[in-house]
Amino acid sequence: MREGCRRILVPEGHRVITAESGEKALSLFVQGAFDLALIDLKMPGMSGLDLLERLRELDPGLICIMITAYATLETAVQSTKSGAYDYLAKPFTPDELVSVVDKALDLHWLSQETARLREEAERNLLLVAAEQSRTRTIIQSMADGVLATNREGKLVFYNPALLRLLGIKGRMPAIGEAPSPDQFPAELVAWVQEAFAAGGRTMASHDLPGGPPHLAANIAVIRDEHGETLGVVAVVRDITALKTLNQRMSDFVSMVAHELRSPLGAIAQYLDVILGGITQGQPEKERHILSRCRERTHALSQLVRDLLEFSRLQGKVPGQRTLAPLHLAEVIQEVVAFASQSAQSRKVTVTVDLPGALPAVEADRDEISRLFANLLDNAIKYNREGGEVRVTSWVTNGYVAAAVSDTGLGIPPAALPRLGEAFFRAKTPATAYIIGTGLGLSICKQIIEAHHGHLEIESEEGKGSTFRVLLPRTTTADGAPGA
Amino acid sequence: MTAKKILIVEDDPDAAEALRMVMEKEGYATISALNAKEGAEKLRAERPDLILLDVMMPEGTEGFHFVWDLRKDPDERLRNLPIIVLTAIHGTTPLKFYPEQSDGTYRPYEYLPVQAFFDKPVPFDELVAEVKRLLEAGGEKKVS
Repeated sequence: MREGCRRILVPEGHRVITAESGEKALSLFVQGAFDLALIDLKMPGMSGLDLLERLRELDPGLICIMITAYATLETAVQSTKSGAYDYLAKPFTPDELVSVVDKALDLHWLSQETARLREEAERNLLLVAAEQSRTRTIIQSMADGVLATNREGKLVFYNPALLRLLGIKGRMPAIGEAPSPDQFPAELVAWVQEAFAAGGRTMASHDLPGGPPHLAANIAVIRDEHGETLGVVAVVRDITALKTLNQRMSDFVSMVAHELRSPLGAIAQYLDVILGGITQGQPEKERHILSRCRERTHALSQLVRDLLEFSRLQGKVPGQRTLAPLHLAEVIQEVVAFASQSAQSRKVTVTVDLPGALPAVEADRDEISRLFANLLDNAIKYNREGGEVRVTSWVTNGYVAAAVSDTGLGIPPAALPRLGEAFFRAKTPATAYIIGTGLGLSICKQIIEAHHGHLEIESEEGKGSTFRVLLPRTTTADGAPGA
Repeated sequence: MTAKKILIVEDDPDAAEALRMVMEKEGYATISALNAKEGAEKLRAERPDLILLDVMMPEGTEGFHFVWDLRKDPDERLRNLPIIVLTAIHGTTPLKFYPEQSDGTYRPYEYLPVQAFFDKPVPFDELVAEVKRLLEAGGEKKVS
């Protein structure tokens, strides 16, 4: 019988192993190695049903077909209850055997495939859930606001950032309802509706009116794979910083234009006076005019120089400074020497009181030179005729300090807080004729800040001013005395 | 007959000096103020007959307020004092100037109650002509 089955099944492409008893079968059985078992119900020793049970225990996936000599309903029912797939009644034709075996194997394959697909589907669902969860987390944590509406224009989604940016407090917008006009800006709702109706362009960018905070919205249409509109998504961004920057730049340009126009206007007017013959026969007046024109053109070129310096300082990346141990005394002496001519012409005396050995500071030489040049220039410019300028230096609390004092006009208290503002110049009748760019102190402040230092200003109108610069001393042992 | 007196309110000392030279050449006496506050003081102290006013002074709206305040002054003479505005602002301000320019760039929206205005740099001959017109055309023009 065994051989008979083997001879029928092998040509069908099946691999067949035979066993003459239940025990032998068990010993030969390896879980998962067999797809199907043909079991004779009536066997000596272990019965077919027992073997069936044991095999099913070992491999629930194994398909079992019982071969029985008694095609009675009872045995058939019993075997299928015990887990047999089918039974075959003796005598059977080779075709019947093959048919039953094939049917059973198809089933086996199908059930395995089903199990595999189910497992895969479950895995995918988990992946999707994880992905959804991750995406959700990302959107929930975004700094930009997101809202989405469906085909009917009802809200399907929004994130916390949206509420924050639109200033929506208290009652949360309801999902499934259209965005309410008392919570959402009318313009935003209108744009969302427009986008939905438009169909053509899929993304539009708008600036929301009002603010701060100034907001911009990117609106896009969501479509399915057929191109049908599913809804609209809007991303709302805070562009306040950008707008502020643009405004500042625009203000700066206006300020520069104004600063340029004044001297140019004055020069043009003066020249018109001479050219119009108004000062005919008055050479001293003409000389005065030409002298003032000269001063104003000089001021213009200084303005250009300062603007470039100012711009350079603004745009400087921290790494672009050449920092090296620097002795302030050296730089100060240089600057004073350079300014001696201008001091002389105003009859101002400059005295320098610098101790022999002061620690160095970690600084950019050119910038520190500029810093003191500006301070000294101011001290001389705003001074009385025959006045004095004193430059001193000392060490205090981890800083090297240097002060530039003058016996000049002093600064009105109201102007003190504004010193260092770009283009700000304290205007008093006494200072009216003094040329300045209004950028000098601003540049000083920027240089000091870039070197992590401090600036202190003291002033008394009619008496004079003192500008104190503190720069952190180097921590190296380079305390070698300066010049 | 005492010369007519002109008050020049202008923060740029050189621009003020140029105007002074032009006006004095025409025989007018001049007084100067560097800002609106000083201008208001000198107005009462010196009683000028006409004001040349620069509206680009230190704080942007200083010049405008000077004019509005003057037009509300209890003193009738001050209310009707002729003012010529000198400006380099060129329409960067929403306040428009009266009268309307012939090239149509200034449409009456809110007008500043002054008699004339000139863009800087000021054409002297035109300025002098206008000053003469306002001071010597038989009495001051009333402001509407």
